[in-house]
Amino acid sequence: MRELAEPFAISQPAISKHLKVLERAGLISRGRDAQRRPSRLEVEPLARATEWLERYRQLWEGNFERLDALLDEMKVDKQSEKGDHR
Amino acid sequence: MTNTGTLEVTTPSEREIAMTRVFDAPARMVFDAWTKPELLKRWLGVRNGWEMAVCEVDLKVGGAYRWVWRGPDGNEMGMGGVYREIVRPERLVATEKFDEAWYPGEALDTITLVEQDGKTTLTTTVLFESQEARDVALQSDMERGVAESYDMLDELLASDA
Repeated sequence: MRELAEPFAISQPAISKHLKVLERAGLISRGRDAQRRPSRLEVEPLARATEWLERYRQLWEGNFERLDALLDEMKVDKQSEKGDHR
Repeated sequence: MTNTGTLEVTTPSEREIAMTRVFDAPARMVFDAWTKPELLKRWLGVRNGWEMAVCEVDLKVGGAYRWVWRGPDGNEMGMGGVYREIVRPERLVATEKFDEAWYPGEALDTITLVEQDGKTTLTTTVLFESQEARDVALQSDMERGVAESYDMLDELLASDA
């Protein structure tokens, strides 16, 4: 934990707290021996979470592209309405 | 077609999914597109042969909305909820619940629209009952997306034959 804390300007107890959160979220796993608790980054759940967000983004981007087209049409309709009243 | 912005998806808290997108149109037009059935039917979830078979909107606080999509093979997916806050054209808050509960409980949708120089920034936030519900929702979306891609592949292969 000391090795992990060294590059950061925060205390070891603070690092310990962050590690606990990451461990609970399944993003790291932690071993235990007499002196050290080595931490290991769990890549797969992190990648899965990113993939979910990307998939969600794509679904909505499809909706919003159709909405763009509809809004363009609504703007044109509004223009021609104005024209009719002139 | 004007695509004015990239869509940003974030998870601002353990129970939320938020999206931000800019549209090249005034806020009242975007608001209408979210709340008028004849406009909603044109864009929301209508792709790959899916259409909105039912689109009912009772736009008042405490009023209900009910949307059902029907696919080319006759499959249906329905959802609905109740409007909680309506401030045209700035803010819309409603509950959402799917008929086939693919995530636990009910979620709360908040839509905010900010207009500047004729463009509108839309932010939608879905607040789930729990972190578990949000994660299930994200995962299900992915699974549906994969199934849909396979459907498209099927169509492509069939048209080649």
